[in-house]
Amino acid sequence: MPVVPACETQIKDWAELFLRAPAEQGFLIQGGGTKPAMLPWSAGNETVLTEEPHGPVKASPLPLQVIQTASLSGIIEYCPAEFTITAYAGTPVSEVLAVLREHGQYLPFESPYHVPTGETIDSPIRAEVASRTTMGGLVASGIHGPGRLRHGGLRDFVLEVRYIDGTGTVRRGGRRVVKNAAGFDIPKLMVGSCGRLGVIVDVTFKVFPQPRDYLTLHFMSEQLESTVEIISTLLTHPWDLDAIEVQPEGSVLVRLSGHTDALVKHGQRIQSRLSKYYSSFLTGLQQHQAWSAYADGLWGQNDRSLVKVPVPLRRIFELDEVLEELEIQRAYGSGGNVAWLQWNKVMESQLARLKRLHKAMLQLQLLGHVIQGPSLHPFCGAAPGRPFFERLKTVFDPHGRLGVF
Amino acid sequence: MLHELESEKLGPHGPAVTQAISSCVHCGFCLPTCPTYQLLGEEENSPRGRIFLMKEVLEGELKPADIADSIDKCLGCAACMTACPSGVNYDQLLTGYRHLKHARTRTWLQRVRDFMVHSTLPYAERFRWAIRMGRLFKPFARLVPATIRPMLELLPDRLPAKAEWPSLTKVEGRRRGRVVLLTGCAQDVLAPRITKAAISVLVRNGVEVVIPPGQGCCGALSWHAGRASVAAKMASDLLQRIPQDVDAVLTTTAGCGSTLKEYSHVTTGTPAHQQGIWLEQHVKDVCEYLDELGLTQPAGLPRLMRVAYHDACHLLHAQKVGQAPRRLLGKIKNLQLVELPSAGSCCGSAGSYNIEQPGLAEVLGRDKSREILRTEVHAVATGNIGCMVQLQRHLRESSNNPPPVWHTIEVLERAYRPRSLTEMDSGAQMSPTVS
Amino acid sequence: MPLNSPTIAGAEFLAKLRELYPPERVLTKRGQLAAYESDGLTVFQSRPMAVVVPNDIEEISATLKLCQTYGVPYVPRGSGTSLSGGCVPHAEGIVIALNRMNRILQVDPLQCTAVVEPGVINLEISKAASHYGLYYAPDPSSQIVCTIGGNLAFNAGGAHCLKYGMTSNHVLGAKVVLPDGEIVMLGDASLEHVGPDLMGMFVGSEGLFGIAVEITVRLLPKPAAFHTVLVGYAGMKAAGDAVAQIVASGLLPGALEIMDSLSMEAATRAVGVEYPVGAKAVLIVELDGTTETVEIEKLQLQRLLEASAATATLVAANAEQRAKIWKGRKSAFSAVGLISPDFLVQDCVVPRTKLGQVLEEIEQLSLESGLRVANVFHAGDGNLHPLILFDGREPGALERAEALSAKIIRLCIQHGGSITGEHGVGMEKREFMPDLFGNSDVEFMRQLRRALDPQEVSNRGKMFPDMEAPSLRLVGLHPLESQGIASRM
Ligand SMILES: Cc1cc2nc3c(=O)[nH]c(=O)nc-3n(C[C@H](O)[C@H](O)[C@H](O)COP(=O)(O)OP(=O)(O)OC[C@H]3O[C@@H](n4cnc5c(N)ncnc54)[C@H](O)[C@@H]3O)c2cc1C
Ligand SMILES: Cc1cc2nc3c(=O)[nH]c(=O)nc-3n(C[C@H](O)[C@H](O)[C@H](O)COP(=O)(O)OP(=O)(O)OC[C@H]3O[C@@H](n4cnc5c(N)ncnc54)[C@H](O)[C@@H]3O)c2cc1C
Ligand code: SF4
Ligand code: SF4
Repeated sequence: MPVVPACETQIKDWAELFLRAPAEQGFLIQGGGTKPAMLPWSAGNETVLTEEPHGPVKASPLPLQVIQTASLSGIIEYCPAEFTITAYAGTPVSEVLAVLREHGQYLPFESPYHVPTGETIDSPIRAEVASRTTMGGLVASGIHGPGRLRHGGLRDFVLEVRYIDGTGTVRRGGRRVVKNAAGFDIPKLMVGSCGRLGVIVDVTFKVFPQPRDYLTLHFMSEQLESTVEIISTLLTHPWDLDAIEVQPEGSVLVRLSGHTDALVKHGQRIQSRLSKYYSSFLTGLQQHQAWSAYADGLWGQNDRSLVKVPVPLRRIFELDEVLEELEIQRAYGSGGNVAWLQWNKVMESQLARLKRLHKAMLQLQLLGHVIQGPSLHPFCGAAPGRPFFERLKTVFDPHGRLGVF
Repeated sequence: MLHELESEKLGPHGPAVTQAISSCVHCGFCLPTCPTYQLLGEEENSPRGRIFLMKEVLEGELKPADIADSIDKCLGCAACMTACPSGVNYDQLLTGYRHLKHARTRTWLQRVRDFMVHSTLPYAERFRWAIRMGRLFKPFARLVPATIRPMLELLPDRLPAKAEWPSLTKVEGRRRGRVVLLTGCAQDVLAPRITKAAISVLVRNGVEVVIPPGQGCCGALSWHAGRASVAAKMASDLLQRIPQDVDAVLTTTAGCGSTLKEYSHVTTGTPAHQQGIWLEQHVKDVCEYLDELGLTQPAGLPRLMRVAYHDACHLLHAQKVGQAPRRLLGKIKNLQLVELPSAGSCCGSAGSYNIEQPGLAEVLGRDKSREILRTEVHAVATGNIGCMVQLQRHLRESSNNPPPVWHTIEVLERAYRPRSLTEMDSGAQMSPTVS
Repeated sequence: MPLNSPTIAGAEFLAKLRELYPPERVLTKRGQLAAYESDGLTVFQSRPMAVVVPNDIEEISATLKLCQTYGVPYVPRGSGTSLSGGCVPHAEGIVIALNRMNRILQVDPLQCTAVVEPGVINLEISKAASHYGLYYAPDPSSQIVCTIGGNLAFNAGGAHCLKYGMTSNHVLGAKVVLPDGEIVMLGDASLEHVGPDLMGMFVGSEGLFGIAVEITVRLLPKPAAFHTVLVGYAGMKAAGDAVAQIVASGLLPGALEIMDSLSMEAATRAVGVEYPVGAKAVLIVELDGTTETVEIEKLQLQRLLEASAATATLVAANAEQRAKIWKGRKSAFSAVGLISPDFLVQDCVVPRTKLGQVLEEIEQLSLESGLRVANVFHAGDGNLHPLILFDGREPGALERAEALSAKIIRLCIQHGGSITGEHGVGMEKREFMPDLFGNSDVEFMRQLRRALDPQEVSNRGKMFPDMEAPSLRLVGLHPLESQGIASRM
């Protein structure tokens, strides 16, 4: 699985393009194009301003140069014994997941689209989107699945990133070894960069052995207080849980993984510790369906806005109250560390709702990522780290050709 | 650590000093255990810092006066030695350094005080006299310059009667051992009851006790302060009086014990060297000895009592005796041993430290006593007179009803006493004062 | 003479500094300053102009502003256990000693987080959390002394980072004072983040991006069960191969560590741990997790070890024996001081599949140079720690040791590895940065640093190859070094 010469030529050409283009030339990087809400430039000519503290998303002064990474496809290096994989940015994520699966390996933070309890995606919308999404988009969007809880997120598994910066220089950050303390951790900065820092051309991940089997416990809970109590009990016990996700209607999905023989005993122990709450075991098809339905609810809805808001467990109450008021539906993922906000255009325009949300989030000092919805700005709410980011950005993209945040 | 020292040029202390410096790898593992570092958070008040600074002085990079403050602040508690994975003998380095270089940058008042400490504490009679004089001064303590005041504040309100010791106490029944018991100098004035308790417990367990008359100071205070020749003289005098037809020489004072265990070093180059070596091989802390011998008599208290054990630095760190006293206490029925969260950390009394560095000793003593009060124990046991004085004073300051502070051997002695329940109840009767 | 190099601007700066701090927290006496000359790597020594000991964030912010105004370099310092010269002072600059900012501000058992000041010692977090059955996972061997701020700056690892990750995987958020004194919040108490991972970028920045002043870390429940095994091998290669087999099998042990005979000897002498007789290398494998899982994986591991060339297998029967095995491992570094007058610690990474081969090549290099090399390292993630033993009193020995050390780093780069796995670049490995990243990318990183700190006052002289070192007093300066050919350990 060598370097693909055509891809390397393509990379050089893009770098040239950046080098030659006038300073004010705007660029737009597109992977699978599944998440237009994250794009850095507004579609039309108007400048769409968001409220402070985020910068304006505006139209490019010159016609945008679109970089379509889909042509940059292929796995560059995969050594199962080393537990690392390197792929071009345009490589479909599904392709990488399939190759890993062949060797009993996986990306432990998981895909929000590909439920690990089964091999195929049975929802047509998710299946269609999943076929398009790219490895570069994966890093640039920073979105991952419920597996984050146990082993870490996307950011914890990116080892190396090759990218073209805003001036047209091809650079590498990090190295392809599982441990490295040399230099700045640029791969992490690229996670969630939404195309504002450079064109990612290839990426190396650390991978893990895939668990043999799964078991899910489904806890019923009516009140947020009890939900939080369930989560906190689960978190403070040494139960090595894969995932804890709170569904919009309030029940909690808890997934364990490991050896089939150990799972049931383990699950029973958890049940008995939390016997206060009604729970049931989900295995086999039932289990898969439960997780598929959960994924569908969040990721299989094209017509809805979807916003990701990291929130510490203790602050869920505050946030929940505000969301209730705004009539925004929510699920809480990663063991109560993130809120997934959803709404559709029944009551008011999606944009109006987003603006109200933005104000509320500012007050709460929380930052949200608009993953799906009106293409206003990919972020809403407060951004306390902004001064730090902005200074770094001037080096990655001195002319602001990749759009602002 | 790399250094440019030539061991030969540093005299008799050369090998110990260079060995300590070169085996220090500057890893800092000793930092968290050092009380002065815990308090001040400054490198120059850490063991690693002090080792580095002493090296710099010995190499001629710094002057002794540059680092005098840092060296003076060192408690000499040797906690750093227990923590060091590289086997650095800090104690020997410090002693060696003091012998070689330590120019104290002191005011005349400090010098007066130094002189007073070193010319009274080791001499029982003078000490007794000084206390009497000091007590006269106590009401005027506020007027006394800050450097001398701590001495006055430590003075007990009343002195116990002067004790006369039998030169031989025999055992009834089978004899399991025969030992020399050292009475200590300052301790003999302040708390003869410790020696009394030791005799009683030893005899009860079949050990014949020899107390050579006319014992003077073992030289510990002078040795730690870098007054090698004074220490050697005291050691020789003491050694002349100790018969060698015994199984062991016992001490109840941790500070003395740690120096006695270095007697080959202390007596180097004197005619008493061979005897010094013999003593070093035979000297034991009383708890260490009893623990090895094993108690024959079961001991017990009439009702449950919670006792905190405080490690005297010179017992735990310098002599590595930590488990023996705990095991002995653990054998006492109805005694619940309480571990302090900061076990192993100095109470601020190390050696004559509480007199020399009042500010720091104050904080350490206060913190330790508050911690003890939080554990709500009935009594505190420890193995050194210095710690007893320090803890008692601070406990009194922090509480109206402080738990008594006993020597470990006293607790044992009490556990052997036949007692009525009412007697156990009465805290006043139970609580001895050091004075 | 209180000042190291009393320039006029320096004197004015000092006067301003004295306005910020009470006298006992501005150290300028020679004896005080000398103590800060070096860190865990003592061959680099440099005396600062002053040391300040701040108590709070505002003091730090004001100090950094002052440093910017006067262009005075500063070095933040935790416990000074850096093994790469990371907190060696700048002769014209100050040291900001964070040791008094050592309060644990909050332990939150509900969401399993703790908020701590930078001077808190790594192990203290676990102690504070243990009441709730929680702990802070990253466990560098120096955990009893190193600070969380230093860990964050170097992205410190530990024996258990194979399964649990490094510091960066456990730091969720931090309040940071940027080099110009501005205070910003990166990340927060959530495990998740959105937008560019700023917290991730800050971790491992070696103090160049500013000072972390309030750090939120993730706490984990203490594993329910451990299974710790000490396995003897006839040689390093056999032990290395066993590691590769275990990793490839899909088992994910908490820790996989190797010690060679020299480090075993040192550990035995330091803490009395006993190793299988005649073993030339031992492998420490620790499984952890739920009781059920460990029971099953135990058997899997046993089969793997039986198939390997193990000469002896010792299973820790209880917590005490487990603690003993780890004590031996964790004190091994410092304990090498017992078997050699001097030594250099190297820290480099190779792909795990190349482990056996690289170990053999290091052995070859050791033979050629006539210097003994001890090895004790995190085998599970290919992170080597060769310790080069020498006697500083022998003329030329230090230089030979340095040359050998440099060869080992180059060897690792050739094999696709890195120049440091956890000790950081610091002063020591600046010259190797271009070998690893190429000149252009190193310059780019430097621009990133300048974007935050145009005068390069924060930790000046670290990470980037400089034309000149900042007025160092070196023990036995070597000509190779000034040419950037050799590096000092
Ligand atoms: C394991 C895993 C599997 C996933 N599977 C799916 C899935 O099946 N379907 C799905 O919709 N999502 C999936 N996701 C989430 C997915 O990462 C995001 O939805 C992602 O934004 C979609 O990628 P895209 O290629 O469509 O990106 P786009 O929608 O094209 O772009 C999203 C953002 O990333 C930027 N970007 C894209 N490529 C690059 C690049 N090469 N360099 C720099 N910036 C770039 C764009 O500018 C834009 O800001 C998965 C996530 C994980 C962790
Ligand atoms: C015996 C021994 C064993 C070791 N074992 C390991 C190991 O297993 N794994 C490992 O990773 N390391 C190990 N180390 C190296 C060292 O302990 C780590 O690098 C540790 O993280 C340093 O912490 P410190 O508090 O001593 O920091 P210092 O040495 O004081 O400083 C380290 C760096 O961090 C910067 N810094 C300090 N505080 C801050 C702050 N608040 N904000 C920004 N920058 C700051 C300093 O400027 C310096 O560049 C070991 C060291 C020794 C001596
Ligand atoms: S622990 Fe020992 S070797 Fe390490 S710095 Fe302290 S004295 Fe030196
Ligand atoms: S003897 Fe005590 S006070 Fe002195 S350096 Fe060692 S630990 Fe610190």
